[in-house]
Amino acid sequence: MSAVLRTIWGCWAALVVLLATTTGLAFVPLGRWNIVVALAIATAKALIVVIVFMELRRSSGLVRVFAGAGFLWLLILLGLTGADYSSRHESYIPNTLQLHETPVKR
Amino acid sequence: MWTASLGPKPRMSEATPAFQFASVPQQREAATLGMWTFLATEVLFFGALIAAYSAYRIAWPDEIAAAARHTKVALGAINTAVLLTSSAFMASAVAFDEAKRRRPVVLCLLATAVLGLLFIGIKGYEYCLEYQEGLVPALNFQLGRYGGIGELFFLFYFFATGFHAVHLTIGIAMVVMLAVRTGAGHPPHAPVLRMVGLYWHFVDIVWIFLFPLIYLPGRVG
Repeated sequence: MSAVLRTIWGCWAALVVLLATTTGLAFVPLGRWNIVVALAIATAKALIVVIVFMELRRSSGLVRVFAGAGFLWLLILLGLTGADYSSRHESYIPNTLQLHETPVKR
Repeated sequence: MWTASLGPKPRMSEATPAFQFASVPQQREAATLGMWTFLATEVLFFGALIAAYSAYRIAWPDEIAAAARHTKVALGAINTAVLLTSSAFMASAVAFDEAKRRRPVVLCLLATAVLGLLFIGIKGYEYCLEYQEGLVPALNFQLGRYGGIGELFFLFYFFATGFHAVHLTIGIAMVVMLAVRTGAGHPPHAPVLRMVGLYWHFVDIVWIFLFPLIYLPGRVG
């Protein structure tokens, strides 16, 4: 009982420390690493909540698979959206823009 | 299923599962699976919002950062701490419930609900400040110098935090209901407290990601 409570509030302390860290680091110029650090800390916080507060460490394999499935679908959603936007070029837009790029053969 | 013809509704306790289950652990396993399935749909609901926001942010990083600087980072950080603390109380309530200690369960649930209400209050205060500063799209938006992108950021901001607040309000209602019923000596079916807990922690996780995405860009320089 008290051991469980100690784990819970220990995790709470870790979460608050991580919150202070991410807020502080947002004001430190790290270039493009700012967003990487912020999301890495957010992921660490989410893992603490999922594993300890949501009891995934004590859950059966099937429950873990269901929890992981939601995360996998999120990766597909974000991955394919990112792939679409990162592979778009103006030359894909028909007519107007393409006319300037392809030499006209007669 | 219980019907009136079967006589008085039997009292459900930790020891007796609902009638379609063989045992309490089986009932808990079924409920947990169902809850995680629902949460997977919620992951995609908020995930789609975040995917759209990420696409805008990659396309117009400077404009988004300039707009995000107008959010209230101190209030956002305090609210994050409030929500993390509420989650710890929720987890404590489940732990006390397992030890069959009813009074601490009620107290932890009440603390969870009060912190949830505090979060909503601080969020409402932020919305007030943002209205006064002319940051509400379609109503009084006055950040024209960032083109339409600043307005797009605040559109996302109000949608994401608004949907999150709706989720939290539903959670507060469920937690209060649990506290009242447990305090009155009529605790609901065995796994209900756990399921409300899973939902509460999920809403917490959504905020854990919204906070750095909304409040932290553009704080340098």
